[in-house]
Amino acid sequence: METILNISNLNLSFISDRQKEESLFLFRDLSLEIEREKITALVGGNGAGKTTLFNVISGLQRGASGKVNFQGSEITRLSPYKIARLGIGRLFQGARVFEELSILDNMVIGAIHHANEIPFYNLLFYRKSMAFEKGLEEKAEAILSELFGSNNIFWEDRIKPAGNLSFGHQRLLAMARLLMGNYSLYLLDEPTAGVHVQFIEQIASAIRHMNSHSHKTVLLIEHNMHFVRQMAEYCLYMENGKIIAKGHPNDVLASDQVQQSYMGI
Amino acid sequence: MDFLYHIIIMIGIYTILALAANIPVGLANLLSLAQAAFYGIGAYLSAFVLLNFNIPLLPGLFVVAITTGFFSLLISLASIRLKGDYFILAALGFQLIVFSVLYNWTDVTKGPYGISGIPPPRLFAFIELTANFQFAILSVSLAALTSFLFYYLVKSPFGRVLKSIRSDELSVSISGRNVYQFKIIAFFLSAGFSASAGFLFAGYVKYIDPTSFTLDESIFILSALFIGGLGNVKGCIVGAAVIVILPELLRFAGLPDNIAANLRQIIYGLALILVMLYFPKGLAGDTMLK
Repeated sequence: METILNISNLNLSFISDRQKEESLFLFRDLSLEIEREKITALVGGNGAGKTTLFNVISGLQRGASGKVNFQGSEITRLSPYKIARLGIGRLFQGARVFEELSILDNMVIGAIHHANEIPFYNLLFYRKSMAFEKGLEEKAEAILSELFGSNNIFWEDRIKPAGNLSFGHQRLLAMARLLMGNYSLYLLDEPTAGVHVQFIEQIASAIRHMNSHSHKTVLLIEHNMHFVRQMAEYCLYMENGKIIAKGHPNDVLASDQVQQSYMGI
Repeated sequence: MDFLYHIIIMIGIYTILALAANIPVGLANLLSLAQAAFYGIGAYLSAFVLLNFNIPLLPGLFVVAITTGFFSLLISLASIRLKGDYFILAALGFQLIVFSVLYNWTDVTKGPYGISGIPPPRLFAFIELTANFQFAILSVSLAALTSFLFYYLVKSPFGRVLKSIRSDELSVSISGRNVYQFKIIAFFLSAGFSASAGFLFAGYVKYIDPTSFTLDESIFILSALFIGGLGNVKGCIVGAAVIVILPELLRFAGLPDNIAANLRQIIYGLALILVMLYFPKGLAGDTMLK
């Protein structure tokens, strides 16, 4: 088994009572490994620490001790933008599109930072800049066509503000935008949450595209257990900041421990 | 005719100042109350350059703009740690500090007495810009150049990133962009543009003192921006024209000077409230203040 992400002895605590100097541990010696090119689901109840773990991996949560290794490099204390440049893409909960920007600009900005973004670069190197922009637009068109068909709403309305789209469409756009970044690992935080059932199959196909077509690794947080069973090849169950069960999704979700703590059965 | 040239020169200066403020405020949503500080630093540096060095307009302007740009690091570094209202207060603090330094560092700035006898800038080392019509041409030319550069900035990938920072800073960061770097560059450009307006002002009025660069002036610049509208060139031109022409119209109303001066503040305040109420995007803007 080749791992892409390796977390070892992760500790994260908050001071819950300054007077008593008591700390509330969110993670205590948390260790886990994520296998390359697989879809892994991270499940657990609210407050288990799933999103915080994503925040630690993507550099948004500071103050954790332990090690986070990604493709052999330690990323524990790197800034979020450096972690993204190393190849970790993140989908937040909610839509999180740039509402005032056009749909096309939303897609283009998904590509990792490039020299074209230096001020007045487009003025000084007009042709080079235009050619680069055209390349990004073609890539955006290709991704949108591949995910949603050649006559998709996103490409047809590409010059319209992304804020005009419905929540479900914004979610799909955020997923498609993620593919512009060519990441090696995708962290997807509840991709189906709040989305109408008609969009769920499109989200599933976008995740499959990430995984099978581009041979990328996907780690997803999900509360939709049907979706987890359908998508994930491996499952981690988290409770109180600890991984208490792992294995095939059917086995993990059927285990007595998970049934008892998560589903209250 | 000189009166008309004066109006054109001032519209040019305030267009540049509004465009400069438009970069952090209109594109990146960083409400900067320190714009008059950059304008003042630019004007004082210009006075220093024009009084002490015999260099022509363009190199002089370039030196002043770049040097003022470096002063902007003081405020842009604050923007790394401070967000929202806290950043606004930090910018306000910077504005007050700059005014205080200009007012009290008498050895260098001559404090409240100001610096007088600033020589006019020279074009290509031999044409001295002394006449008002020459200044009007220079003012319009510089405003046009700044508008051109701003237009390219808005349409550029750099402008796109600034607009996305305005929308969702965190998502920009996890898309591999160093958000702070973009904010630092935005302030650097804003300070540089403001400094060029300061250069024009110092060369035109030939006398500067700290009272031209107070917090009131920062609010005045932002008023031009909000009345005209955020995010584009035409809003800045409209806003600058309104705030320069509006008080001049009072002269024709035949009011005594002491009443007209007070009325001016009331009219600006009222204009700002009415525009915010009925034109939330300003008279010709693209976006709203968040």
